[in-house]
Amino acid sequence: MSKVTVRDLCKRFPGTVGADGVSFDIPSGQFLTLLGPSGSGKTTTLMMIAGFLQPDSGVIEVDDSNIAALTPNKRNLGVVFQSYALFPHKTVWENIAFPLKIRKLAPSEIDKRVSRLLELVRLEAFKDRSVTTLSGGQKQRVALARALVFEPPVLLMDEPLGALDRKLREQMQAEIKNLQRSLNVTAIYVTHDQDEALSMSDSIAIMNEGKISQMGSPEALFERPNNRFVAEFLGGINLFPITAIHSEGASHTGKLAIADAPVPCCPPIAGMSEPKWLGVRPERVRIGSPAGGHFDATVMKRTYLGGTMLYELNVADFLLAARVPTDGASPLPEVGSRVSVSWPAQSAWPLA
Amino acid sequence: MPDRRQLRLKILLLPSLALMVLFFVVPLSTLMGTSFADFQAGEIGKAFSLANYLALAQDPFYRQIIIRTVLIATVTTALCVVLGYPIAAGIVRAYGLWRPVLLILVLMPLLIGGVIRCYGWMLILDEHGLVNNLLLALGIIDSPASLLFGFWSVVITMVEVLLPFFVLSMLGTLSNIDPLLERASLSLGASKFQTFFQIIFPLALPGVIAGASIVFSLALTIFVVPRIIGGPSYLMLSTLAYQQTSEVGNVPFGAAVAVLMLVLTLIVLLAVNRFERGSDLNKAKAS
Amino acid sequence: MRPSSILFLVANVAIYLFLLLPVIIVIAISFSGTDSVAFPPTSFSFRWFVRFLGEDQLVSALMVSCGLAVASSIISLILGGIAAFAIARGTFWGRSAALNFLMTPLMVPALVIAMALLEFFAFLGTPSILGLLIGHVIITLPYVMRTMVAGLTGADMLAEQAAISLGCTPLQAIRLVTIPMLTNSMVASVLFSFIISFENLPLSLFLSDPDTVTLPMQIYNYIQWVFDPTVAAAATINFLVVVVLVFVAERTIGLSRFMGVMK
Ligand SMILES: Nc1ncnc2c1ncn2[C@@H]1O[C@H](COP(=O)(O)OP(=O)(O)O)[C@@H](O)[C@H]1O
Ligand SMILES: [Mg+2]
Repeated sequence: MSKVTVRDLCKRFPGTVGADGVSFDIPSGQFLTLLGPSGSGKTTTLMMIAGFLQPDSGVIEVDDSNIAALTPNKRNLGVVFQSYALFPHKTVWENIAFPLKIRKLAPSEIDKRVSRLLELVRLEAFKDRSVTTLSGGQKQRVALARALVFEPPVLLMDEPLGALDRKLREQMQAEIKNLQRSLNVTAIYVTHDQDEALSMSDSIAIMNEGKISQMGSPEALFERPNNRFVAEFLGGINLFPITAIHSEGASHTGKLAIADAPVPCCPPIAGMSEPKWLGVRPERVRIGSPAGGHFDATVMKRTYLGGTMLYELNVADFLLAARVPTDGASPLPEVGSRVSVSWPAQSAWPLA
Repeated sequence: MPDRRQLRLKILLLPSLALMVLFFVVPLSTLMGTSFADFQAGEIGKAFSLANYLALAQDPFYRQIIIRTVLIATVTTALCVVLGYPIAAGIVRAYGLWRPVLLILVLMPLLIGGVIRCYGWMLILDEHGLVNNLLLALGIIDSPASLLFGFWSVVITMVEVLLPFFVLSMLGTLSNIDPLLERASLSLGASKFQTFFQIIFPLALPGVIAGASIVFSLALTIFVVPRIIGGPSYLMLSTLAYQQTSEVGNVPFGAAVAVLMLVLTLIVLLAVNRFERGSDLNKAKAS
Repeated sequence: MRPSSILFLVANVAIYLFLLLPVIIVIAISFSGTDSVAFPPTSFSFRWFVRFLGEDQLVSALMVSCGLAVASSIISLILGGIAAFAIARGTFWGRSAALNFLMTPLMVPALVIAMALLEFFAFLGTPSILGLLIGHVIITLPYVMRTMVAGLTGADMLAEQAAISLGCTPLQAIRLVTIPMLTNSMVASVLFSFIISFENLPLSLFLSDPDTVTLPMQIYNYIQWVFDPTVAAAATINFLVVVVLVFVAERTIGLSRFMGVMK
């Protein structure tokens, strides 16, 4: 295991930008996910680390030594591809043994290591099978074993589960995570699936148009996105347009475009660019009798979700969602009624 | 009802089957029959005779032509593999508009045909051709000399004429190889060289063999190139067959040469067929 | 770029040059302003094209070739099209044997077919033009079969059945549904047949009489005796015919997708 440092990685393609100043640090043995929509530069970044793309500029360090000048075969990084990229003319055993044979290990050592990996991915029984006869999940386990058998300090994975169905994917997520932990390898994982990213990662870098939009732990990103793109990508949040933030000592208020009175909010994060939005999760929105909150709204629709009621409210043609617990005691507002909307100051975050 | 439909479909096959039997099977059989006729004093005899085949097998002149034909076909095939592989690999790697453009660049000479390209090579190789003019201008030679009518001029022309066949028959196999395999192999520590010989080439081999066999069988029998570039004295089997039939008038001997060409072609194609089945069997066994 | 990529690129460019060199030379010579076929030409003119148009033998050869190519590709398309339909839609025993049989002319050297037909037509006393036509149909039929069987196998049979369920007679279904779906395959078939026929030399070598000399045959005759660039002009015109066909085909049906047929 090794720590990985990426600094200001840039790659331009004719007409588009693949990666635009990507930087991150991964401590030894940690699991980082690059998460973002298709075309956001995840593969470009990963392939530059693997050495298949020449960066226009930037630094890639593994344990403080710059590997940017090395050819891919000299980088000693494990890579798992979405389409598995197994060698179809070789058996399971031969596929996994390939990197060891290239490294000219003794046959007994090769046998030992391949057997261990086969055991870890539970494919001992398949070792002499042609890889073309395996199921998708089995193929992916062979690809993992092959990428890990030569004990690379870093494992790179580009949407490795993209071709599998949902159920198998969840099972494989756990399996990859276990392998990564037990072999203690630093991992960089690429996906566009946020659930996958949230459940597997130590930290997540959300990418957009070749840049890292925000990076942090899954909780931090989900609970405290600092820009609109991240908030919308992770989903399930109300975004109120704001025109200004006023600070008076420890109290902060935002001026909403849809309401006259300023509403309380958190302070903006130091160093963030001019906030344009206020993000409030539906679970934090409180509704009450008219004129009792920050502003009034009309109930457009309500959906019972078992334990909570999901409201769709309209304020000056702006729709917002509120999720209210149903305690069974107090009556809940009906469709068409007027309600007041409010939230605790610490639940409203200014976003860029 | 389904039987009636099947019957009607069978009837649709009849015209082409009839055409093929009448104008392909029958004439070829007649040609084979003729090859066993004897030929004396300018007359085609009726007697069954192996004389034509014996002459082909025993006469040193004809033996030399057979050996020359096989040798030229072999060298041509080897060169087509060496030159055609990078072209095919380039087309498979090309993206966007490049791909159809390159494909058409390969297809175009094929569609223009052998006669015109041989003419082009005449203009390149003969006494006043491009090569001589270049060598003169560079002061490498003092007086021009025709480069036509020899082994290398025939081989060069033949490679150029047959190269598109090799490229086209390789493309399918090559484009079925996942380009990520190369990256996977490199990421596992193999050099480009190791990747090519241990991963890519074994997977491309069926295509190489298919392409090589097509080129080899065409090279054994092609007529334009030896006729125009080889000339009347540097004979190959095809030009020998033509000369005997049209110029000497010894139709039975010409027929025997034609049958020999046919047999050689079939041997090549059947051998490759056997190989392909063999490799399919191996695959089935491995799984 | 890495050195290996540069080497690969340079090798590719060199091989393409080698492949296209003779065609480029012929075209360059056809625009020569002098009487010599020396390369490179020293001046430019269209006079050899004018001369070509004045050479009855070359012009009539061009006509014969075009006529033969058109006729043989249409006949092959009809014969091969219905045979391919029977093979692709039938379930009867012997379909694949029939297909293999119809493909065999590909495995027999063109010269051998020509020699066999020469003897046979001489025996029957068939007129030269008819013999040529039959020969050209025989050698183009396999290309039509290959393209059409592939097209018909790829075409959705359900569409035909849906048309019948909507009230078409089977024949109407074929005319209104199947044939329009096969347009690309048919265009490709005709194109390949046309070109295979247009550039064939061996059949004309054995089956042509003085009135039915084809363009490749006439070019072949000329280059042995005539040393001015007229024949290069003929070749350039031949080249233009092919370029136009290929261009039209690429724009209408995406010719590159049908290239497997040529091998
Ligand atoms: N080889 C290439 N040539 C040109 N553009 C490319 C190439 N590879 C990627 N791109 C472009 O770069 C951008 C980022 O692509 P990529 O890294 O593959 O995104 P992701 O993996 O996040 O889906 C996209 O706009 C894509 O079209
Ligand atoms: Mg990607």
